[in-house]
Amino acid sequence: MVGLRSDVQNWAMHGSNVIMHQSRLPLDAPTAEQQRFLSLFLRSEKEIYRYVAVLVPNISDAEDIVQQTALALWAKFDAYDPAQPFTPWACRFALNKARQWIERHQRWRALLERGLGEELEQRREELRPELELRLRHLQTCLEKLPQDQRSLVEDYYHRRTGIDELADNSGRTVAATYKALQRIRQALQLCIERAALSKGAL
Amino acid sequence: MKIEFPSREFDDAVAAVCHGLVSDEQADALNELLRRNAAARDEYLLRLELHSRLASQLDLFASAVTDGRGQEAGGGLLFPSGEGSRASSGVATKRKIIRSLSLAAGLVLLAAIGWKWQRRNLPPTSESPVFAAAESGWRPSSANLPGQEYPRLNSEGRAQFRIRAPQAKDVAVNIGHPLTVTKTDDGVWTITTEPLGIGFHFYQLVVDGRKETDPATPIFRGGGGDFISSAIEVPTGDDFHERKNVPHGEVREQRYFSGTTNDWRRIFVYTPPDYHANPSARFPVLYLLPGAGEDETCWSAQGRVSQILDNLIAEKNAKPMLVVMGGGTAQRPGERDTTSRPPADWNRRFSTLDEVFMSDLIPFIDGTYRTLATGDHRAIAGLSLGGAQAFAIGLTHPDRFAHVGGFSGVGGGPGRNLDFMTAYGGVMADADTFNRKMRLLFVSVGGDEPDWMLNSITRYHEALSAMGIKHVFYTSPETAHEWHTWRRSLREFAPLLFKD
Repeated sequence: MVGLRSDVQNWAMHGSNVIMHQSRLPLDAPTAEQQRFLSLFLRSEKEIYRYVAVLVPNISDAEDIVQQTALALWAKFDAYDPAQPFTPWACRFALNKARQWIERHQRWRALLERGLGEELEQRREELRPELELRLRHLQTCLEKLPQDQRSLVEDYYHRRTGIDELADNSGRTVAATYKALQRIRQALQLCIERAALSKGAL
Repeated sequence: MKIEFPSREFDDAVAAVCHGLVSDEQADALNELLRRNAAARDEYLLRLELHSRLASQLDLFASAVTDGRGQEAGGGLLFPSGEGSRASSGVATKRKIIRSLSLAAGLVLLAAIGWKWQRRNLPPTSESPVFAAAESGWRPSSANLPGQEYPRLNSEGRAQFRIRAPQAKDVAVNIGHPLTVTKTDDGVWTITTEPLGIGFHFYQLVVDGRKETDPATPIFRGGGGDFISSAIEVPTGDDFHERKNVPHGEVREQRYFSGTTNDWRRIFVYTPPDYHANPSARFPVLYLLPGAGEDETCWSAQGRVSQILDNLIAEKNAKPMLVVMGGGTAQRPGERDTTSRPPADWNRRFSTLDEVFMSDLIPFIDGTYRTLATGDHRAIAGLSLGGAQAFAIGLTHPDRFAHVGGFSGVGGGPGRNLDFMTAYGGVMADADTFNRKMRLLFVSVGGDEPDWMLNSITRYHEALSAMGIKHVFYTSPETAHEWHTWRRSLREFAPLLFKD
């Protein structure tokens, strides 16, 4: 099992966002089965991440959960029915991993208790078409950000620069850096809503 | 702890969730809110989705892997080894395909089920929790013309607009961003917004694509776009700008000839209550400038200068003074507008307006009114762009103005690094000399202004402090880049003027 997990980590270096940030293992040639799993996983990875992020939005925690999900999926891959879509199957594993993580973190348990976690997952499924329509404007809106805000977003989300380092670099406090990110997200949301409205998407 | 929706507490709690920083109290309160409020739940999901897309859809930042820093990212972040570049290209292609498929699937699904987003600003339905909360206590906006019931506001700051346009095919209300309005059977279009921020908000009606003002309110100059707007006032709890039972001054509309621009320029001049009763008295003068896209009517109309000054003078919180309200643009014959297309040299940006003040306006005022015609008895201030103009003109001529104020706008412009040693003819190069000469330097900003504005002005204030330049810094609580910030700024600024 340990060997298999290492394999997963190796293959993921082909393109997985999540595992890529955490592994520097050399690349081995994958078998046909491994290649099939990798192909399916990579195609679903972003959706799995977003599925997890509804419950656990913090980036590093969500990435950890997706990584654990990848390992669990490979371990059970022989039980996967190719006639069925991969993503829902994978998301069930992701949900279990997310729940296990939440169980270990009292604060998140309090946030999602009394059925709210399930409610959020269900509602997100209902909203998905609309979320797709709205968020297709995200790239355009990102490009409209002033350069300093765009740099901050890129550094935080793309380069995964830590908040302390971002604060040091900008001369802001850590709290002000979090606040700046919050304001940028608000600006992006407003831009997306305007764009969606003007395109008649709503 | 209890969190309402919408509210700043909600915004902060969701942001804390995104960063894994939610507190025990916030977690409990958010759970309570999200379980009972469907609109809050949808908004929460939208914000989390935006956050998770930024974190997971790395090809959103395509430019970052092509610029200088991006090369570093391509080699060091996504792909730890040297093979990264090749793999990156392949993965990016895969991701584009997958995204296209997802989007296509989303579109098909949407068309198939005809599902509607329970989005913000939709007219509430009887099932909507927003609707239930917003039912009571509606009052006409104080900015309405007499007898006009709409637009109206409730205690939460939600606004309802009602527009009769039976023939129109599409109606929206543009209040900084467009809101879709729904037509009822009798040809009336209605909308209930989510709570607006406190203060003064411009808006326009967009009827079948054409911008129009709302006949229910006066027409105001400002508000972006075509710069003619209607407006709605969300109560602030303040009354310093309301008309009270105190002695009133008057505002006179007047024109003077400017040799600089070779035209007749319009001004509005406030004279204090005892200006006519005491014909031998002379008065100090405050010159006020409007913001970009606004004109000489603004300080009197939406700025409520006469009400604010009447009240301050009656309370003996400000000295009786004249207030001259002029426009912020000026071109010599044949000159292009340097206000919106500035020259590289910031100090030259307002040179024509500066000359209008020095050669035309100040001589006209001192020659027409009973003024105290010295620099110690003259002040200049403005809002936003007008603040930058006030700093440029006032500080370049410290002998003519001993009091200078910038409300949501100061020197240098947003994001620019002003060289204090050379700016305004080097007047600030020696702090002691400057502090002796300048009796008041005033900087203000709204606490809820956009980040770039807040940061820019705060940095300016900090730079002044670092230079040892004495000044007053004021933050208007909970107001944005809008007129209540500037009314409050005037309320704070005026009492500090012309002290013995």
